[in-house]
This record gives sequence, structure tokens and C-alpha cells, in this order.
Amino acid sequence: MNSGGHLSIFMSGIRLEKIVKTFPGMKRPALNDINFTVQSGEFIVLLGPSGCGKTTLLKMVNRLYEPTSGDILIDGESIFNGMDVTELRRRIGYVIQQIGLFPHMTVAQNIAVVPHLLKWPEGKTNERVDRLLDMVALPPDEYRERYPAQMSGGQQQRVGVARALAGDPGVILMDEPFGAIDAITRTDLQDALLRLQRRLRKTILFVTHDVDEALRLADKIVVLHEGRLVQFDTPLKILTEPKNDFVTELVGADDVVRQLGLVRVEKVMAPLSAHVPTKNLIHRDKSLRAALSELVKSKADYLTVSDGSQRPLGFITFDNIRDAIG
Amino acid sequence: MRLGEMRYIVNNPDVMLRLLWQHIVLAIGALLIAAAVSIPLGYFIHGKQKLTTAVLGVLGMLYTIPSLVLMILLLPLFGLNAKTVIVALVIYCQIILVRNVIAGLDAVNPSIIEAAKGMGMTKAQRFIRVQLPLIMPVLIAGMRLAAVVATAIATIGAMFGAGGLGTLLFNGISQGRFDKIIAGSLSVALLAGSLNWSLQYAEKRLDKIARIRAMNPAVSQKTPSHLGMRIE
Repeated sequence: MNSGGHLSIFMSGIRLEKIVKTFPGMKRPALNDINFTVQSGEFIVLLGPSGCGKTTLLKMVNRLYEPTSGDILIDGESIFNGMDVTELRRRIGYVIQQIGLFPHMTVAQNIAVVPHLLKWPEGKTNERVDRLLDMVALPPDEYRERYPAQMSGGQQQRVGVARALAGDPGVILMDEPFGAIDAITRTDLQDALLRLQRRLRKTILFVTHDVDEALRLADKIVVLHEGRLVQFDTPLKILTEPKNDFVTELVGADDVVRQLGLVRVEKVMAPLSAHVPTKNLIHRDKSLRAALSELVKSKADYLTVSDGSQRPLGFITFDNIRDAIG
Repeated sequence: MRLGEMRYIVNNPDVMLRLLWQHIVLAIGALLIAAAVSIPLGYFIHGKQKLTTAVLGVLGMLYTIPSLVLMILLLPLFGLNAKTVIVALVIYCQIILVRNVIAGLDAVNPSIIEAAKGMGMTKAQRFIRVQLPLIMPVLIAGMRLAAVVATAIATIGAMFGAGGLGTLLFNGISQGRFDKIIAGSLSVALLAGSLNWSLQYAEKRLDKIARIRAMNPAVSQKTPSHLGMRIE
């Protein structure tokens, strides 16, 4: 990013230390001793059944909830020490399941909310709005002046994502953003988000109870169960080395065929070596299942992984797939 | 109606205009002050269940005091002039407006407020930029009813030195001048009617915009049940 890109550099790594949250009148803490560190630019999914505390945890990062004890550091600085809470929130993107667009504002006005709060000059804000609409595949000329009610749920959430990106925050919080959207549109939005993330490299915390969504999107998954962090690992590790029975059951770690459908090719591909000629292209976002099917069909001994252009990124063989899942 | 009884209006346009203007100042002035009081009051008590019940209870009780009595009670505080009348009108309008402000705020989808909060709007910014525009249609609906009530009750103002169209009515009664009574009552009715219609127009316009904006409604367009009209 050019405009305001400096924020992304300064603010992105997140560290949670000994987070405990006890709601008044509850015997068991909603969150108990949560510790993990997120590197700048990582896509982290908080996964768990409802009531596991994942949304509570997410909302602590922009201080919609305060922890009972513990600390959250963004780039080494505690968010509870002297940082103004509205200032903090303006520097963190926020997307919610109910979308929450302002119905009395146009799409452009919705996206411009945080730039206005940050007192950006008008020209810069307008430019930003158009660029974000392009990024989320809503042509600005067509959508800028629309009201949220004149759009589908999927389009509205695209605006929701654009709005969260508007102030060019380093950190983005997403609370089941695609939970209320039909399955086909949800897949589109997930793909769009992956493409965006590849370009922008934001630090994303993403809450979901949908295991497939978590495995598709995450660089790393935080599995929460009854207020405790059960496992913090890459999707592949979670599938192949689940920490306990709960995780095994949750992600269906026994079902190898299902796993093949959930892991992206780019996660297991071998790096490109100079002597491998390009053949049988497969997109990096395709599942291992698609790769396997392609390998069997084409009778080739490997596939070349690409990013949609003709540029090769790596290659993938039967052995890669077997080693990853087996 | 025979033309003879309309002769006062026809023959005294200057008096009619002066009294009409006084009446408008009384009613609209009171309405604007009432709105300026009820919006912050409603915002403050909104969401505090006990306080809301208590405040609405008191305002409802005040509304049941006959207007003549209320103005007499206010007389020692504000004197024999328009101030007494305007204060009385402001008090009567409160129950209508505060109820609508609260109903409007209750109907705003909580997820919209959460989004506003999460994006870093302060409380004041949330109110001015999000809540107030969203409750506008409901608020205008309340203003419409309040305008009619204020116009009707302002008639009594003539007895307290505030002038207005009531002057014609009271003079007409004491002088046995039927043409003055007709002129007074007809013009009060017309004024109330036109205020009602113009606010209804504003309400409809806002409502139409609100409907375009709110297919998945941020504010349900259900207006609160109003108090019955007050006839004095």
C-alpha cells in the first residue's frame, strides 16, 4: 500500500499474555490463561464451538471487552497502558457477522468513516474509497453511491471488508464475517479475502466455528475449548498431529479424504527447482484433492503450482501429498 | 356557512396576520424548544429501564394536568406573558417526543452501534452520525403530533397575555361576536392542519428514503402508540 502504509509497518505483531476473563456471576472463567503470539502479516483463525470464548477473545484486542487479567501487546506496546481506546480502534479494522453497515450512508460514505475519523484530506479519502472498491471487486462507478439495502448480503460484506481496510490498519479483526452468507457466496468471499491478504499482508484475527473455513484460510489456527487454548498450529499440523481427542473430533482428523479437500496446494508444494519443466498447471488455492485428481487423470508424476498467471511457484507430487497428510 | 360570518377574516387581514404570526411563534417556538429538550433527555434515559419508567411516568402525569391549570401554576414563575404559555407547551410535548426518541433508539439494530464503536467513534460521534439520522423518521412522527397539540393548546395563551389566535375566540365569546369566534377557530384548525400536513410530508419523504436504505431494517418503521389527541 502506498497511502498510509506506514501504519502497517509500525503496528502488526500481536502478543496475548495470560489472558483471563471471568464474567460476573459465572463460576468458570470464559477464558483461562490464554497465551500466544501472532507475527506481523499472519492470518490467524480462532476456532472452536460456540461458547468457547473465541469472540470474547477477539473483542479484547479492540477493547470491546476488557480482560480480568493479562495483557495484550501490539508491536510490543500494551493496549491497556495509556493508549486511547478510540485511537486504538481506528487503527484496527473490524468486520462483524451482522455486517453492520450504516444504512443511512452510501457505500462510499460507509467506507470513508474511519478516514474521516482520522481526518484524512478529502481527495485522499475518495481515492482510497475507489481503490478499496476495486480491491473487493465492486466497480466504484456502479457501487459508490448505492445504499447498503440495495445490495446482496455478499456484496454488503465486501463493503464491510473494504470499510475495515479503509484506514489502512495493520491489524484486522473479523468476527465470523461470512457466517450469515450462503455457501456459494461464502466460498467466493473466502477466495477474495485470500487474494487480498496475499497483496496486503495484514495481521488478521478471524473467528469462526466452521472448520472447513478455518482450514482453508488460516496460516495458523488457535483451537479453543471451554475457555482454554488447546492447540496453536498450522492447519496441516492440526490435521496430522491433533493435540487431543477434542481436536481430532473437531477437525475430523481421521478422515483423510476430507482433509485432502481442505488443504491448499500451496501449503504442501515443494519449492521450485530450476531443472523442473513447467507442466500441468494447478492453482495454488486448489485443494490437495483437486491436485490428486489431476495427478491421476494426467498420469503425470508432478503438477506445477501457479498463481493464476503462468508464473510457476512450485511443484507437487504424489509423495508430497502422502507425506503431508499420511 | 354563510359569507356574513366570514366577514371578520375578510375585513381584518392585518389583525388576522398579526395574531396568526403570534400563534405560530408560540407553537413552533415551543415545539423547537421541546425537541431540543427531549432529544438529550431521551438519549440519556434510553437503556436505563427504571429511569425510563420513572421519567415517562412523571411526563405522563404532567400531560394529564388541564392546560388552564398548568398555566396558572406556572404563572408565578414566568409571569403573565408568552413565556408561561411556551413553558406549558414544552411540558406537554415532552411525553410525546421523549417516548418517540426512546422508541427510535430502541429500534436501531445493536450491530450497527457495535460496528460504530469498533471503528473508533466516540459516544458523541455515534449519536450525531449514526443514531440521530436513524431515528429521524420516528422523531418527525412525534413532532407532527406535538405540533398539533401545541397549536391547539396555544389558543389558551390569549388568557395569559401571549396573544395568538385564541384572542379572537375569547373576545368573540365575551362580546357575543360570532364572526370573531368563527375567524379564530377556523384559523387555528387551518394552522394545525397545515403543520400536520407539512410534517407528514417530511415524514413520508424520510420514510421513503429510510425504506430504500433499510431493506434489512436498521430501524423498524413501527411508530410508538401515541397518546390520544387532546381537546381543550
